[in-house]
Amino acid sequence: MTLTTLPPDGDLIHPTDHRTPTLLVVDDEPSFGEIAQLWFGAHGWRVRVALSGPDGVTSVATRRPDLVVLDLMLPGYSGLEVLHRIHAMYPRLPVVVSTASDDTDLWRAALAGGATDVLLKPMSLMDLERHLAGVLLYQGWLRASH
Amino acid sequence: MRSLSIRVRLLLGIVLLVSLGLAIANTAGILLLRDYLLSRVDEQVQAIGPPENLPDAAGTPLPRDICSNPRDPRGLRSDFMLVVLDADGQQACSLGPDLGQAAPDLTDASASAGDGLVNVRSIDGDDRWRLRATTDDQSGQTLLVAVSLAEADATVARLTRLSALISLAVLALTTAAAALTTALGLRPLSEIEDTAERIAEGNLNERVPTYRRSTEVGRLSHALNGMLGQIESAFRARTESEATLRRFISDASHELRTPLATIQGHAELWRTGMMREGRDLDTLMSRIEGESHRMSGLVDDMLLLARLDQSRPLEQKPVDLISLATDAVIDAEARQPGRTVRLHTYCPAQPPVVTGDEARLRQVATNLLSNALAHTPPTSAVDVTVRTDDGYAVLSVADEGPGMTPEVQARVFDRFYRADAGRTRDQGGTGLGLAIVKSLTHAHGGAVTCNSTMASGSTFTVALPLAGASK
Repeated sequence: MTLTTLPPDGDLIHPTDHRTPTLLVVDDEPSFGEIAQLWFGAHGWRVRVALSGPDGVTSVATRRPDLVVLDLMLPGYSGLEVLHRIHAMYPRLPVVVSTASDDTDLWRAALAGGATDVLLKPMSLMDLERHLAGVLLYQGWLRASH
Repeated sequence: MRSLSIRVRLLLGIVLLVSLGLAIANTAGILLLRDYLLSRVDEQVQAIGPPENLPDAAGTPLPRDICSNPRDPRGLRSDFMLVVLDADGQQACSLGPDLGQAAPDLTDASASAGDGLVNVRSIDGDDRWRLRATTDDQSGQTLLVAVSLAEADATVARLTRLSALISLAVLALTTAAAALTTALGLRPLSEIEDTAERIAEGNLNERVPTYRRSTEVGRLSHALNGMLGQIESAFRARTESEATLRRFISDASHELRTPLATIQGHAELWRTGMMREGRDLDTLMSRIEGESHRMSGLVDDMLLLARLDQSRPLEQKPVDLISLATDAVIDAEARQPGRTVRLHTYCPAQPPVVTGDEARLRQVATNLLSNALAHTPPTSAVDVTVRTDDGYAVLSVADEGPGMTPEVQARVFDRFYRADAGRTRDQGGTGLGLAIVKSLTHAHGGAVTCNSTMASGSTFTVALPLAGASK
């Protein structure tokens, strides 16, 4: 996916004017969830964290997030399995894969499984937020244009 | 010649040899026949002798002076001539049929008197005659006896033609038979060639057809298949080794990136002013320190494995496994104070002393105990046993945890392998602990095994050769 309307550096935008977007972070590394909560919470996002695959799938159903950041190596279900289940429930829900694995076959599998994009850890939180905001903007534009 | 195929070369060789053989045999036969016929003629010529010894066709002897007693030539053989030359070499008379131009050319015949038998041409040059010249000392006359070689020459010519025809037929048949035989004989080589081409295309599990070992092709096919088996094994081992290395690098990259992500995230939180105050800052620094330790441990483990992979020599000193296991048990109890960790020893014959690197062997015991503590409930007991058994010192760590499935057991010593896809780092370390146990045990000439049943717990057993044991 290519984003053409990125905000300028340092000027982080809030993705929507109407409501607080909900972000679900599915990652078995607790510190990643905590960091995400701190950062995105401070920038007007509502953040939910799931530490396992089954938790992630349940959270998607119960929390109805606007966006999912998904790790690929998870206890319970694998990341790809979680992706498959999320995609089966909500085909239009954007899922951005965030992984420390540089296995490009795994990336391809994730993209083929419906991931919006794949980001390689470690990444800057600012870049991550900008990226996610861009995804939401694009999703909003898609909804508005259809 | 080298550019020709073996089949063509064999065929050419066979045809050449057969041709040579036929040529020699035919030539010898023809020469023998010619000599035989010539000797027969010579006998006839020799048998004639003086004229009175010669009977005519009616059986009447010829007179000694044939010139003074001419006979009717029609009663004589057509291939026979008698000529009498005077002392001065002039023809006095002759006896024989009138052959005209077919008669022998006697121009220089008197010169050959006393020289035995000679060949002369007919006047027209078409035929040959066998000639004997005898000089009569009393009369001074020279008697020439000539017998035609036409029949003998014709017989030899017929035989030559017949031999040539038969030889051509034999050659044609031999060529066809040789072509068929070489094609059949070389068919196994063609099949081997076809198989080799398929193997060259990358199909390494192909094998050449096998034939009886008593034949050259049979021995070749067995030797080739043996070689192909070794190549395939080596290729498979290399592929597996490369896949293992690739997986290791990928896993190592993943394991290093994960703590880096946490460190970078916390640093970014601090930089943007989100965690700059009091407890927040302490938490942040504690997290960074923790992740740094984790990375440091990971790097240490990876370097240790890399060194072990290079088979660098280890320290060789006597190490008592009881002392080593005692320290490991004390250390485990210190880490999990409420945990029951028991030590059992059974070494009746000799102390369980092995030769090796004490620090590395200590790491083996520590890793096994850490693994047991990490993957079993805190209430579950762990039993450490040291014993000697048939030249080996055996250290085993048994837990009463949930046990492992056969699939997990098969991979439990793999690098970065975790029973669950998730990292569950709160339970375990780097994912390299058991891989290090395996590498260190092998480096000390020992072996490590794992026995586990679901719900009954797992037992890891390390067997190392006793010091001085000639295993």
